[in-house]
Amino acid sequence: MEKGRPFFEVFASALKENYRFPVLEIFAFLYTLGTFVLAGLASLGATYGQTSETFAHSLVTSLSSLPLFIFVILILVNIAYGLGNDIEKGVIQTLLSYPLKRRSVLTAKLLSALGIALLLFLGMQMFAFFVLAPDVMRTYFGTVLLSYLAVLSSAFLIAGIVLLLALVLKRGGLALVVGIVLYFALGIIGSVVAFLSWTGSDLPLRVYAVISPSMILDRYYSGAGAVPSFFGAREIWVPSFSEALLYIGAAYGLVSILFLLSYVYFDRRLGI
Amino acid sequence: MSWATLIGRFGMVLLMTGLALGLVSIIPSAQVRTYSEGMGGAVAPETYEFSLQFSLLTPQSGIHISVESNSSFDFYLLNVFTSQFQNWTMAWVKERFPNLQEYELRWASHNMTVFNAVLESNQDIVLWKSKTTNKISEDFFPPTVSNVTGIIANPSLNVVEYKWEITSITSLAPKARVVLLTQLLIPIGAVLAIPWVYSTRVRKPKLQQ
Repeated sequence: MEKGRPFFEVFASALKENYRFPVLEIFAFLYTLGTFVLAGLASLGATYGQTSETFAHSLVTSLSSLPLFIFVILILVNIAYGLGNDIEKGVIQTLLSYPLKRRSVLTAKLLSALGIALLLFLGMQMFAFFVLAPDVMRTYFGTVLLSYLAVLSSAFLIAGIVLLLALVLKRGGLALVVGIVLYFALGIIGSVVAFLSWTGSDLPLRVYAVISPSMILDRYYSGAGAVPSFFGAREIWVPSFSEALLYIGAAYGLVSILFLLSYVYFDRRLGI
Repeated sequence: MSWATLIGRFGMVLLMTGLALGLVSIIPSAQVRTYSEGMGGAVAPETYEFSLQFSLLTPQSGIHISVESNSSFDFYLLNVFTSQFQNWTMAWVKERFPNLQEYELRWASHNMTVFNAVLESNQDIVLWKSKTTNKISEDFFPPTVSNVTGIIANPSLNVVEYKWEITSITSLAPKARVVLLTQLLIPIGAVLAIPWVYSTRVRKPKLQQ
């Protein structure tokens, strides 16, 4: 047997399982529709002549808002339900019988669950950029890339937590529920943190920035420091560019740790 | 998973993307603001007038132009600041008739000969030109971010009296690009998907009666 063949066989079986017809097609339809509808709505509020980095960042934020939710749902279903159910029902034992290292089996599963979903998400986003604002994409490619990195980090964080939970609990359904709750909880925490930053310390904002660095990039590009509020005008922390980079790096560090832990657990402690 | 399946599924994804874009393209544009409801004017024979003076448009935020008149006219949308266009026409006249007074210069710069000459040397600024008609009603979205000046030109020997209305409109996506992509994606997707769809239908065992 060729060296790479078992890996591709596991990958192909994961693909077949994760993207049964018409799952991929429905998600492609939703991605496209969600991307263009929200971009159109965003253009209603866009300032005329706003062709700067801020516009590039706000375009990324508006283009990715609904598709990001669809992306999170897709990867949660693929990881929690796909991988979790494979462990729960013992299908994983068949995959582990392949002449492959355990970590290669997990890589093949994740490549299908996460990689293809990410490819579809980014493909649609780039396509939308090409249609809507090709000049912005060309001029501010770095800003666009950084904004996508920031926006995607919270999705990867949830994916990492759900992966670890699915492996530890060996139950897909429960991990899926936790993932969905976590996604909405992050949004709620973001609102609470913003409220707290108006009234008191910046510390919660800085901690939350590690979990969701897109907020930090929003603050950097909008440059909004003083916020008039019920409690009176107050200077709120506006990060510098290097600080924003640092927080994005920290967020990906956290994501890497979660995935590394999952790999270690799958490799040594899965108990199968 | 065979190559036929992979290509077929890829085709289906293209097809669905095309259908979604098709749906986006048929969602009508929304009116944002009307600039000039019921306004009108007159254009002297063989002259032109500015109707829309400088509006910044993007591929998603365009204008709906509606003009009605008693006689035929040409309508132009130019990618130039109004002041810049005026400078060009004034300079053209000044170069040929250096002794003219300021008011004469202004009057002469509105002549169709001047207009045609300036346009001929700046052909790239013409975003859109209507057919010679006495009524237009058109949605316009520029291909890129543009500073648009609208001009109503009267090449005839009669006075053109007109009424016009310009409304700013917004669409979900640039219509021309979306329609073009829809027309490309749907057939390409269908061509790639058909062999796979056919093979999956053939492979299904038929129930014995």
